[in-house]
Amino acid sequence: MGLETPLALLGLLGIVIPLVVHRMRNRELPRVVLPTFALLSRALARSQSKRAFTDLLLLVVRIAVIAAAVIALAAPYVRSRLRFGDGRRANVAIVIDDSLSMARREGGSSLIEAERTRAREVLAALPDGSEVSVVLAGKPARVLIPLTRDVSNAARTLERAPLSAVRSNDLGQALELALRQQHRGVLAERRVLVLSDFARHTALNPAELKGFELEGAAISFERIGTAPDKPNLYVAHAHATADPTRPNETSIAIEIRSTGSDLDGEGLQARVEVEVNGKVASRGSAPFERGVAKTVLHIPSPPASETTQAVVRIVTDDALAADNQASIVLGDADAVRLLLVNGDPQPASRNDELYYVTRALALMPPLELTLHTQTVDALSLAHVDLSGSDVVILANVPAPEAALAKRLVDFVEAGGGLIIAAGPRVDAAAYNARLGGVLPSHVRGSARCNDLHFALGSSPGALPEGLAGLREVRSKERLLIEPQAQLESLLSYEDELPALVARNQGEGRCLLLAASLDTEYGDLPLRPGFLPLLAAMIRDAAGATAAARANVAPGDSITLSAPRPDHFVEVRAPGGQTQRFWGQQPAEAPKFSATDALGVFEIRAGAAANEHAAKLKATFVVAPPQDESDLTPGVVPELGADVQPIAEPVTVHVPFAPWLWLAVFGLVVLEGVLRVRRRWAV
Amino acid sequence: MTKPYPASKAPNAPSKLLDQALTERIASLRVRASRAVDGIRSGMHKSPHRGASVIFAEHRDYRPGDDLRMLDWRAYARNDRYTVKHFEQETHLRAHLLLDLSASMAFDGGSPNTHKATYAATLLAAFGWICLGQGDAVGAFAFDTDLRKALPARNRPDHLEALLSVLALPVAHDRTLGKSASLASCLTALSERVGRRGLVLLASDLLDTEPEALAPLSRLSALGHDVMVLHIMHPQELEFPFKHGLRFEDAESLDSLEADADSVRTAYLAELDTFMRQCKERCVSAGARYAVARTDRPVQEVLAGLLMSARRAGWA
Repeated sequence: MGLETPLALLGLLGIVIPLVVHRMRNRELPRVVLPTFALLSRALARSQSKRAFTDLLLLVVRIAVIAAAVIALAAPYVRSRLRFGDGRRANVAIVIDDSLSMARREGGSSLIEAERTRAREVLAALPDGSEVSVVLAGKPARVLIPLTRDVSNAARTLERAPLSAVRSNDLGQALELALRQQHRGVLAERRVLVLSDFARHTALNPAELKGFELEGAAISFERIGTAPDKPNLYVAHAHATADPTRPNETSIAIEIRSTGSDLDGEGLQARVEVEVNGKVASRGSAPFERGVAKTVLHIPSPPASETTQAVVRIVTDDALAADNQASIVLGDADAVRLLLVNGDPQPASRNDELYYVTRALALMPPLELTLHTQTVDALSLAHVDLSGSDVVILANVPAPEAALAKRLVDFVEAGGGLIIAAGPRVDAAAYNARLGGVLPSHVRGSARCNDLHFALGSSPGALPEGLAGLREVRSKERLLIEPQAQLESLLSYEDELPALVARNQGEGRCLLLAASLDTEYGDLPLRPGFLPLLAAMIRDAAGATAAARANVAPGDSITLSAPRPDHFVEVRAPGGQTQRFWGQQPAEAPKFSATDALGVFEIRAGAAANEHAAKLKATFVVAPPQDESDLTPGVVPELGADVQPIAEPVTVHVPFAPWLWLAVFGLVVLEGVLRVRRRWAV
Repeated sequence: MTKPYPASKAPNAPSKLLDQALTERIASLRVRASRAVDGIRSGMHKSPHRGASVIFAEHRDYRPGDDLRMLDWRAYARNDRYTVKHFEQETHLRAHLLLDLSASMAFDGGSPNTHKATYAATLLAAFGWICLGQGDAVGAFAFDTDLRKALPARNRPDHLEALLSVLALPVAHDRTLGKSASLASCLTALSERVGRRGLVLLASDLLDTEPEALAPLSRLSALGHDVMVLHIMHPQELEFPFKHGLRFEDAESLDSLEADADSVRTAYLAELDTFMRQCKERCVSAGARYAVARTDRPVQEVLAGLLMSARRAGWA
């Protein structure tokens, strides 16, 4: 602490002024004889003691006013070491690692909160006029605060920002983003501060930095947190299967791994439990062997018609709690029940109408769809209960009999999805006559065409992949679909005749594909776009959403099926937060990206007419990224000699005269209040 | 109608209380007792006794022993019953002037014209002059911590001089004496000396805050006296015009205190208001008339107001 102008302290002699005034008030006063002295004495008696105290208080306040003002004039300051930088204006980008490993708690708070605190310290140390930006390094890296000169507003934004450490790490991309943000600034002094625990898994190769346009930016890496003092356990694998040796039970195979310490020699065991619907259904333990512990727990099988969530949880105390659990979806109520009707079964498999379809569906990633598939031939269709299916695909099927056609129409009216694929057996006139109530358009028969390619239709919203993988399709023959003004066309041929059209009928939907599902009409099944097209058609017909039983990485986006007009799709996060997407015209597949929570997400669909009766359509699990579970401290990246680190913080003089002037103002106000009180106290 | 008493007969020094100009201004004022008063000689005031006069009082049946001269023969002729006719008797007034000469009455606030004791004495002198002028007997008592001088009631022509000499007594200035006697004890002593019922006029600042200070007034009233209290107050006492810090000293003792006049004014005026209200209530409850006399008001104006208000109340 020091004074800029110590001579101003001579003004402290002014303290004697109120003392003298106070003494003068007590000097020999003019005398007045008053006959009514007794009345005056009585009036004064009530407030004499209070007045004496108030007088003393006034004296103290007046002395304090003069003392504070004099000291303020002396310009006092304290020496303070800046928490960042040298007090000069600079363009500063802060990279905050919000990967899962930063959820580790140390000293009562999480590392990501420690990062936030450090970032706020940096912002507080910047002088006015500085430029700041904040980038989050969780995968994918993204900008939390774009470059701004309003440092205080940036600090407030950072304070309020919900930081959740659940993602994997992408420091390299984050650093690149930060540098891009800096290029928007005008200040030449550029600094990048990277905050992370720099665990071994941190994906930042200093060699990559040479590819960035550093242009003289100073970069510093600060490690947040220390090495964990406990090993970290995580659920590496949890898989539920029906156990044939245990009727009515489901077996859950669990594999637990540890990092950071060799537990084999310590005889420690991983204690786990399985929780179903909030209650512990099974407990068990497993010894570690080479850092891996495996066990199988059994829980009562939930009804197949229900979708049940099970949580596998490690009970053993370890370094990071966030990766100690894995969610599993039991039951398959959310699976799309698909009925494939083979209109041209063949003993030679490659000639079979559904040869390519069944293989494509077998390759369907769980992220795309969860399917329960049933295959029948055209003759058997009449004996199948359609209410057990969500989507029916008629592949090159002759026109159904009237009774069956009526059942198909009723099926669509009741909310089912019908996909009609072309083929030589499709009788256009019969289809128009019997299924005209659900067909998107009239069919005029089949016609040869000369290697026509596909083009996007007028309403391609239900095809999230668009023409990707379909551009090279060559069609030799096609079903002639009559173009209409209001026709919902997803795909068309390059001569603008419809290739894939759709129509909403009742609660259901019907799709009509002018191409065949085998190679009879072209090479569509051989093209890479066939599988996404098939998935999109099934999703669209089912009105379902992307159903994924596989784990989704935190931060990933999920493409949902485009809801029909007056219908909606909503996603409910594990914490209960719900995001709803309403159907639009033209249809557009919404993307859900709020996957920054670990656990089971539910996708429900419903209609505006009955908003509260949304039906569960699909589930997917956001699982912790396993690479983040290795908390072993890694090496803080070292830059080449051409990249300078940020200069060490300097010591500055922080004046506190403004606070003293504020105190003077407050004391003057207090003095006025006391004077008024003194007068009114009598 | 009686002739005005000649003011010129007043001695030189006491005549300051009653100069020619004042007597001319109050010459038209008259004092009438509101209650019956005992007197020996005939006068203009109502007597408790029946007698011969022109004012008819009542008829009543004759009882043996009644004066036969009072029989109303006309009534006997009309209804054959002996009826006695009574008339009001009028007598002269005995007025007793009580002057407070305690140290607090020496206050003039820096203006000799508003000296409290002088003003009170002038008021009483003027009242006595009126009474003497209409043939009533006037006595005077001056007291401070004790009775200092007493003058019996007389109505002789040379009595005014003696009366003024009593009223012109100086105020006791010795503050070291303190308040050895209370207003109550002085009034009690005086009440034993005023004799037959008449009129008692007290001029005092009543600065005795004891609750029983004015209790003797009720005894005077019970004895049949018309009691009137003139509360002598200086404008500075009423308005407290002081400013800034001052050392206030008691007029009757060595007590003093320091106070900021500006800040204490409100509380002082509240206390004064309470005090004066209590004085009035105690006087009224004692059967006395009460009036405040500011020493900056003309004597004749105060006196006229006093007599007029008393007349409206049936007092004079």
